[in-house]
Amino acid sequence: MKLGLAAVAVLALVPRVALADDKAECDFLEIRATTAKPGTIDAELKPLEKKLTRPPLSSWTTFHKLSGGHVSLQKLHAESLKLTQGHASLLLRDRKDARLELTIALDAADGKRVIDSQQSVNAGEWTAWVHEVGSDGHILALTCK
Amino acid sequence: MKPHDIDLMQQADGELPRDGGAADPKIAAVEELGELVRGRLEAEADAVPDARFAAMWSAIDRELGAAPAARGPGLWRRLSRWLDRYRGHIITGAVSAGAVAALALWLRGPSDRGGATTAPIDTTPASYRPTEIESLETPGGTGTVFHLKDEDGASTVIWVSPADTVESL
Repeated sequence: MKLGLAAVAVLALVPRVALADDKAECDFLEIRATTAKPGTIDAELKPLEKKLTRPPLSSWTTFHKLSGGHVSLQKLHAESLKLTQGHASLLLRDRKDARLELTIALDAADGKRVIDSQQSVNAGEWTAWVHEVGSDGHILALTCK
Repeated sequence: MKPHDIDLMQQADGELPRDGGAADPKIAAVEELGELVRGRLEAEADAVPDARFAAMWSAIDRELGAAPAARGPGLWRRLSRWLDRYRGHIITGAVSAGAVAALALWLRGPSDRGGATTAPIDTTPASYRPTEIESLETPGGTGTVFHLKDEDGASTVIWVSPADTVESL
């Protein structure tokens, strides 16, 4: 009887673990970067402030948040992000503990694909995709856990 | 030939046949002397009281009782016996404890439920692996990858410059 209950409890755990390995919780920020002076950084970009003020992103002085939010990724299920300036699609290809394999495609406002990348990233780290638009910059920053 | 004393003693004890010679009186004297000594000793033995024998036997018993008892089985053997006897209980307990721990982890769920009041723990692995760009396509532009590190942790910047801008440089 006791062994039976223990076995049921262990078996009940298995789908839960598998589920955790198949998910990623991500936060994203869409940013417009310019050389306008005096330089300012939106308060909502605080998590990225130190990175924005150092090379290579410090070639711009003003950073304005265009959009942002949270997105949940399921393994091998593409998620679409409607951005203020364009469109992005995110795909979690695999996850091994704190290492995530992501595919990101970024389309410009005119619909043209500007970046299509596959990367293996550490959970909690920020990755930024930067696209030059004239003298300004269009940035999509993403962190997943 | 004159017999030696050892031969006479053996004849007196019956270990050698008597030859019936001139030594017979001597053998008879040895036998008589032996009888006297034996009788004397038996008389002394009879003189010892029964109570004295009882005391002697008690002393012997005490000596035997004081001898170290036979050593019991060793610690390892006792432990093995205990494990053999309670193996089922131990396995049941271990499996149950594992199941309860697993159940507790499952019920606790993801760590984003809030309620934590302590500062986040820095979980940077000892063997740090930076972001790895497996493939990068930048239609109409050129891509450059930067790996940055600051007080807030590591980050990666994938920078795409339009092809005409690169060509103009």
